[in-house]
Amino acid sequence: MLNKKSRSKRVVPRKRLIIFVPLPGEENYKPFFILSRFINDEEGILLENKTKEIKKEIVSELNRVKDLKDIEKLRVEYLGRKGVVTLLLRKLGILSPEERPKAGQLLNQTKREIEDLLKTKEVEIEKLEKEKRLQGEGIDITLPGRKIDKGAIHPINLVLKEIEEIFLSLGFKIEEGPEVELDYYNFEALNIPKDHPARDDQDSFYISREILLRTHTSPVEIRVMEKQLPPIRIIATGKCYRRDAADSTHSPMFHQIEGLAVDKDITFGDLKGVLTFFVHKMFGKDRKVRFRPGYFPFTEPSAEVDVSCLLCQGKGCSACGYSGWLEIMGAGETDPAVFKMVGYDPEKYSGFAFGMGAERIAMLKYGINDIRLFFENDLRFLKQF
Amino acid sequence: MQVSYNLLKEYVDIDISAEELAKRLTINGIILERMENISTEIEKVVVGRITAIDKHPENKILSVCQVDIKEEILQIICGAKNMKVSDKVVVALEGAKLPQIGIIKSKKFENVLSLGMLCSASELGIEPGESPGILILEEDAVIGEDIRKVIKFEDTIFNFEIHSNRPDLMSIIGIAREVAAITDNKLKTPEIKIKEEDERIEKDITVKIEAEDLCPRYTGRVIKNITVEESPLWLKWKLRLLGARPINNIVDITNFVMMETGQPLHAFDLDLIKGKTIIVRRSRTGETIFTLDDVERQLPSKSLVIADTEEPIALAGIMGGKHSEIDQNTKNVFLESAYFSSVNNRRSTAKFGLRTEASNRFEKGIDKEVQIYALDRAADLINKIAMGKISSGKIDTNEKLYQPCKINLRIKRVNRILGQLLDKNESKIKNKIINILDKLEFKVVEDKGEYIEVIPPSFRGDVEREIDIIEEIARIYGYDKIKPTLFNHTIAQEGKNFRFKLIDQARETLIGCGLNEVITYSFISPDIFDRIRIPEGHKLRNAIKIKDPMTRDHSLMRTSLISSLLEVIKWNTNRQAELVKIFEVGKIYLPYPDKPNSLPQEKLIIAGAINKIGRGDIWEKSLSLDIFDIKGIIETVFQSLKVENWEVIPGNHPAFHPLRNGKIIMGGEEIGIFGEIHPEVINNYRIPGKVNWFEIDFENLLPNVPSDIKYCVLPKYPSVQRDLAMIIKEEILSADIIKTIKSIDEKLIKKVTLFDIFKGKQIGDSYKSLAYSVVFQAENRTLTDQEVGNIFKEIREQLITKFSAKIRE
Repeated sequence: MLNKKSRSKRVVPRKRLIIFVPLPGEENYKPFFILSRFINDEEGILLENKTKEIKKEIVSELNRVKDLKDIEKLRVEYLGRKGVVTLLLRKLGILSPEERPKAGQLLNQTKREIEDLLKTKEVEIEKLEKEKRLQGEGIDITLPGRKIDKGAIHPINLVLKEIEEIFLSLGFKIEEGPEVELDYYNFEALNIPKDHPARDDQDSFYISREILLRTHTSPVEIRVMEKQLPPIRIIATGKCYRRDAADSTHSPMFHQIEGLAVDKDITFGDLKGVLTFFVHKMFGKDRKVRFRPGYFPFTEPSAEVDVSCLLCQGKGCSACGYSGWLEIMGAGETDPAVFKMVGYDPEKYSGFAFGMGAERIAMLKYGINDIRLFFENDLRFLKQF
Repeated sequence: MQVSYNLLKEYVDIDISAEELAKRLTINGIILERMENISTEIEKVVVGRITAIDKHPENKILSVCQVDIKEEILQIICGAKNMKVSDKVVVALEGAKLPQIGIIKSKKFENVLSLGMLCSASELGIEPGESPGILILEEDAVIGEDIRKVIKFEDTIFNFEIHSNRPDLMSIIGIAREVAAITDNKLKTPEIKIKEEDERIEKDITVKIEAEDLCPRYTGRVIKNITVEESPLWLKWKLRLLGARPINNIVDITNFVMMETGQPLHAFDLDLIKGKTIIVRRSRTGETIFTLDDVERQLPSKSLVIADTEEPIALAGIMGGKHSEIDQNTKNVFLESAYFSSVNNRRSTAKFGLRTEASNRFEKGIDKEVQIYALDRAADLINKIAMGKISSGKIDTNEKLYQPCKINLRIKRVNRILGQLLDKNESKIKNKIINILDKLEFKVVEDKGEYIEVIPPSFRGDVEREIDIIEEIARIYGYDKIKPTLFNHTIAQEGKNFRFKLIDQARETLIGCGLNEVITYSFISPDIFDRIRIPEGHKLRNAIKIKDPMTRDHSLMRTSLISSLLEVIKWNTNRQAELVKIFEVGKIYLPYPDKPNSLPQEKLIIAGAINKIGRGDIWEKSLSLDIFDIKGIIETVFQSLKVENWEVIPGNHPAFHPLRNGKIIMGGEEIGIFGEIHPEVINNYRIPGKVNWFEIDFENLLPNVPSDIKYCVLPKYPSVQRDLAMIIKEEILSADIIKTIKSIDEKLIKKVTLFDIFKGKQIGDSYKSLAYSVVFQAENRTLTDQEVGNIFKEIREQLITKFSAKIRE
């Protein structure tokens, strides 16, 4: 503020220039005039009136204010180094020590009030400006999102996964075996010797006399049993091959799911229980399951497993050949001859096995009517899963 | 096996509907494949008798017949030639309805009025195709009777699928027997009364078996003075119901008896058997036979034939020879009813590529005791229908072929295998079992308390063991009555091992990267190697060959997934797909060159390919998929599998752009490749745009994947980042620069990231500008400016000396 030097300079004019005029009825209050030439007027003015006037002025100025710059301008005009209030404050030195605090208080209060007014206006303008800015930031929210286009799992693997999960929950373990397989594992060890009529049903792709592309996943059963003793509970999934020309229901390559359980006390009842559990999990609790006699050289008794038609609910339609039933898998109690091949004692152990085609299950589950779709890999098809 | 409801009723009383019967049989293991209700809408068709035949006055081809239909005599014009006066015929009256023809109306044929039509078998729907003449009925047909009383047109035809272990069901009697067991009715087999003449069979024929192993039993009869003609209506109709085509009475009888009994028969023209001798022997090299289907066949040596003293006259159990065929001139026949070994028939059938109704039965194994029954049944019918005289005596080379086997069935074992299905009370179980076995004609010879001794019938050659009998019990008892149970106890094991979990993880990650999973055939064409630029002699050309492929396209097992996925891209781009991002988790099959007889190595490969041709949407249009998109996918997969410490070196795979492909190396081993597919390859597949490719050899990757996650303590002290830009020769690899930078202080330099690359005239033609950010961090203190500055200075100096880098300040 004022330093001693400048104050001592102004000692002279102070005495000469100030006239005190008490206001009526205000005993303890000593208003004072400051000579007009210090300010802008010929006439001296009452400080209190002056501050009121300033405030009035600023309020009306603020009404005309348009943006933050205008406010800044006002701030400089009133509170800046050469601002009106600042100038008044500077003049306080000419007052007597008794008068100075009162006048200072008055001016400081005025200053604060102006500051508040400016601040309030500033907040108001800022808010308006912010709003105005947001108004300019409109976008078309119907534009496409910038997504990471997720791929899809192949429907066959989707089905295999679902089937695996069901059997995993029953304590089964996943195994696998080679697709190019020895005749021994594919046929011989499964009680299908050379010249057995069952070989006709599974016309095979041979590589050499003893090597072929496996026609089913059943050889995995033998490979697992050769490796370990019961208890066994495994499933194996994978590709199989048969000499079928591709049409809407045949494919030279397809996928199977094989299952095997061997223990000291496994019965045909367990086979029924496990596979019924599977069907209910896979196709829904309200599905009916039917077991009827079938024939596989490696199981005895053998069963074909049917599920009530998914399309007509068992009433009969073209999908189920008007029988109300869809055949979904083959199963049976492991034939003692197979146990003998792997060195298990059939008197001690019993077990059951089952096998089903993943394509058939997927076709039933998703209502697909042509098996070739699985291997054409049209993205419009794949993306549906 | 085709059979009809009415036909079955002649052999067993059936008190349920055709639909119900089909359902019951299916549940018991005889699967209904097709069921057809036939009900021919024939009206106003009656039996008539021709009283006179005159030539048509104006048309020589036509005859004018007078036909007695009981109420009146009708004049009917007929184009056929096979009728004579007093023949009983089938007359379609004025307004009659015939299924093939429609409504019959009186009509003038060149000025002569015809008041109806004489029908042929095909016009009545009895015979497929076109019959050669009109149908002549048997003499005992009743004049004026409605044809629907003569033939039961309303019937249901069943087509059953017979499991290959049940050849006994390939006969009417076999199915009727099963129906009897299921419905608790009695089987009725036709009674046979053979009327033998005085003349002995030995006079006309001698049979020599030279291959007893393949023909363990051979039986035969001689029937003389037969009349070969069309079969009677009833037989034609039965054959129609059985799905067979009538030929002549003798052949029809042998066919019918085969379908009735399951025993294939063959009739030879006795007078054409040279040397009056039948020799059952193996064929000799160079022999040929002209079979009934008008084909001259070269006989492979050692296949079983029926020969006379000069040459083969039939393929045993498959087809007869043309030479000794029955035709209109045949007077005497030799009827064969033999048991040929199933193995022989399977082999011969395969050799000749010829499968007949007969061979189909032999190769599955027929009843060992039915030969004489079938022989006599056919002889009896020939005697009745074709007026043949049966010589006395018969050939039978082995009356004791069938040796009954005794099987012990333990009562406890039944429940042990099937679960608690019958009764807790053992004697009750036993009674139930005996009752079931009795229905199936199994003999229970002795009850030994804990077990019973059972002899299966001769036609059940498939039943040889205790377990086979248990299956029969379950089958007849009904699988539906066995109570479902879940395992008695649980076992603890790892359901999914590490390998399967990783495959799942990789698959999920790739899907997350936007790739769609595909599954393609494991087969490839040998032509693909040229298409994907694999040079002659390259190891990928060494593929497993399928011995007898269906098509050239499916003749090899693949050694690479490249062609498989390119085909998928082509399929999709051909169908206007603009963006194709695919992957496959599939096997390749690599033979061991030094071990040709062992199984090949099957390697699981994860391969992916991306191709973009379209503009895509507003955001996608600026993206062009290139090699770094594919590399990013691999990096993401590795990140998700927590695989580190891999590096990339330039590759040399011939299917790729020579300068845009790399090998992924881990622990010194190649675990994958990636790059841009060679433009020539792309062109060979007619794919628009570029294809970028990766493949990971899962078998090589697997041992490098950590099985556990180990947590690293988070750094306590702040890191410092410094940027470094340089101008450097274009051929210098970024990976080498990063390696160099890191080598300066492996402890403190935590991360080096390339954040800018620039090429342009300003920096010179064969130069590029690279900018890296280097992150420094210590584990035990805050690094000082001076420390970082020193390392940074060292980095700059190294880059300058090693790569002549111009560091930009």
